[in-house]
Amino acid sequence: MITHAVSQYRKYKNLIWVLAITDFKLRYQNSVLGYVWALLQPLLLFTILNFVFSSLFARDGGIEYYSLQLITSLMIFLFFSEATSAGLRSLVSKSQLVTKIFVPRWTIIVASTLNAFLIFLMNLIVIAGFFAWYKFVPSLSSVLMFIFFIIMLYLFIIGFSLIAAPLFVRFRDIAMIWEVVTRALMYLSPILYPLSMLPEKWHQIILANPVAFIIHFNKEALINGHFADFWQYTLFGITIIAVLFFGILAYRFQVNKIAEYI
Amino acid sequence: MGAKKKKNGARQKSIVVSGLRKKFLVPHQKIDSVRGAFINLFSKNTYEEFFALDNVSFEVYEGEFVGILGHNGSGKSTLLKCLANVYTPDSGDVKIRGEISPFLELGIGFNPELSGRDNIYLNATILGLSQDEVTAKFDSIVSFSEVGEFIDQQVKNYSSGMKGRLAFSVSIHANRDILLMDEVLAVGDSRFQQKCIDHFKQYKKEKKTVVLVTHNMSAVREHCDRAILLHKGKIEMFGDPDRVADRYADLNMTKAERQLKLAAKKTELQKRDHARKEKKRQQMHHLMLERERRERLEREQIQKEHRERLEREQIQKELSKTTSQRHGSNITFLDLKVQNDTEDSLVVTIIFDVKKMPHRSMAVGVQLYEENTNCFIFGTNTHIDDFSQTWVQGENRAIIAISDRDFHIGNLRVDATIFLADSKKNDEWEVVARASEDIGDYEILTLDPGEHKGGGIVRVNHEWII
Repeated sequence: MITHAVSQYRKYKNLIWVLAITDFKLRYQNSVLGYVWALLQPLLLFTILNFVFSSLFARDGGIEYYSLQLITSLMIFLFFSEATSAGLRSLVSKSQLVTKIFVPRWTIIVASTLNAFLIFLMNLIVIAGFFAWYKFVPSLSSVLMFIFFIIMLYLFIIGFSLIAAPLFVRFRDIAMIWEVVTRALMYLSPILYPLSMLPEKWHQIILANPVAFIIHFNKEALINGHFADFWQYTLFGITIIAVLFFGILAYRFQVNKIAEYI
Repeated sequence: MGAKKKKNGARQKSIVVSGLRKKFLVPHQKIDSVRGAFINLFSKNTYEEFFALDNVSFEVYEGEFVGILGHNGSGKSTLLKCLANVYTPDSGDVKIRGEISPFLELGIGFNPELSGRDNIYLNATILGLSQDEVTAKFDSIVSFSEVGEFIDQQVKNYSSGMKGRLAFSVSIHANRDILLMDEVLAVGDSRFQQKCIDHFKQYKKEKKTVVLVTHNMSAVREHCDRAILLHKGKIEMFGDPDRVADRYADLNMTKAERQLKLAAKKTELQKRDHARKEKKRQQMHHLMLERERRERLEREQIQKEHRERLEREQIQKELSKTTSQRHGSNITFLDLKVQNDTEDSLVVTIIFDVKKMPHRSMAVGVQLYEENTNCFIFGTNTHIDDFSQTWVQGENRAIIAISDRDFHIGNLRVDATIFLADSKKNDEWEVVARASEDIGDYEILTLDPGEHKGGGIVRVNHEWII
């Protein structure tokens, strides 16, 4: 199955990247100013949240660390919310590619999420800037952990999009429902607050959500050099793979009827 | 056709469609939300089945140019989408040999915010070209599209014609073995269309297979090797493009229209027949009116003459009683012969016997009548025509040739009359003998309604021979 996926990716790699880069270019209007403009939204959000919540939650490690944790976590979460939203709407917004020509539908879904990933990579520059500003150098293992987390998050996003995009073709109010769920996930993930603030018995429930798991342990690794134990990673990995696997199955189940329902 | 089939047998099949069936469920109430689906869990959702394609089978050979004709909703777009793999058929099989270039629509993925250049790369990639291929063909694409220096402008600033040309240009450069096209001939001005058609011809030379869905019957007639006519999801006809196009035009008419056309054909024939009859009838009618007018005039004239004559006779009776003896019927017709064996004239021979030469001048006359309507067509006599002939005691002979066969009369009757008058200058002529001869169907073909002393509705060329 993996070899099949790889050969399929090789075949359509060009298409996926062209689609993703086109969306990316459109977002920034081919200009540096466009990029700055696009950054304003997350930065403003960060400024407000930082201003309001730093005094509340900046306990362990002081204000600098809180800001660093907040900007990293916020960017990761924005990546997740944007990528899932784009993945969800991908088939409908590119309906021409579904009804007028044959390209494998998953390429459209993957390209949309890839676009969000490219935006996230751009935002990494801002994160790097913040680290430089606070003169904080993360450990190598925590950077590797960060990369691992991002890859896992991306696989999770693809899994979700493969399920949701064909469903969205049929049920258009999924977008609204997902918006509410995203909002809830934002507050159910330890972005603004440290997980330790919550009662111990809730930790396992909160961490069952892969997004919360990623945000929590990324924060821990970057700032505190603290990692999860083996079983936690295993469980996390299995969850991600399960979602991806289920996504592929759901996609295969729905793919033949997409063109008719769109 | 037979020879062609043989040739086809040796050729490879590009597209083989067998028993293709595509069914759409048309729900009575469309559910497009989770909320709707949830509510509908408790009520049964009803729908209708609709076969967009029903057991469609055909084969297209390599290098063939096949047109698909059909009404809106006949399933032609569905068929094309099945060929292009956009739709998955419910049953049946679609086999494609070679790489397919499905452009069911031009400029797929075109984004108005992007430049022409970016759109070329985007569209070409969607059509399956690799990055290197696009770069290699880029100049050719731009020159064919005639977009020129606008290539780096945003496409939203293009005219719709430019957009269409650019899109078409990319499409044809995708250059696969099999091309599926849906109504693409409608792009651009006629000059550009000609370019496209030239390109199609090029494809034909290159042995490329083209399947074209169109409403344009002339395009099908002109370019296609074979054509498919789809009707209500089934193949109505497959074969010679001319015949298929004719059948399509036929189908295009509604039932009522078809009946109308048939009726129109019938009435057209009837009309023609009717018009011919009507023309004849009008001619006759005209003649009748004319005759009536003349008859009225004649009647009045006769009445007047009668009155005058009575008055005169009264006077004459008083003057001389012997004059009445001059009316003696001592003139008899021996024969009246009418010959119409010559092509353009009617020869009337009048032979009569004069027992005793009258004291008054004598004249021989001829009158033509239409027998059925008793229409007086033409009359003349030797006196009117100033034909001087000395009549003798015993047998006399007068021959008149009437030419001009221009006028259809029907049954012609020739009357011959002998007149007597007191003096040659006197207008009062008296008929002393009359003979008639029916000659049947005969035509005098002149319509010269000139006034003529002898009377009748037309003037006919004639000549006294004796």
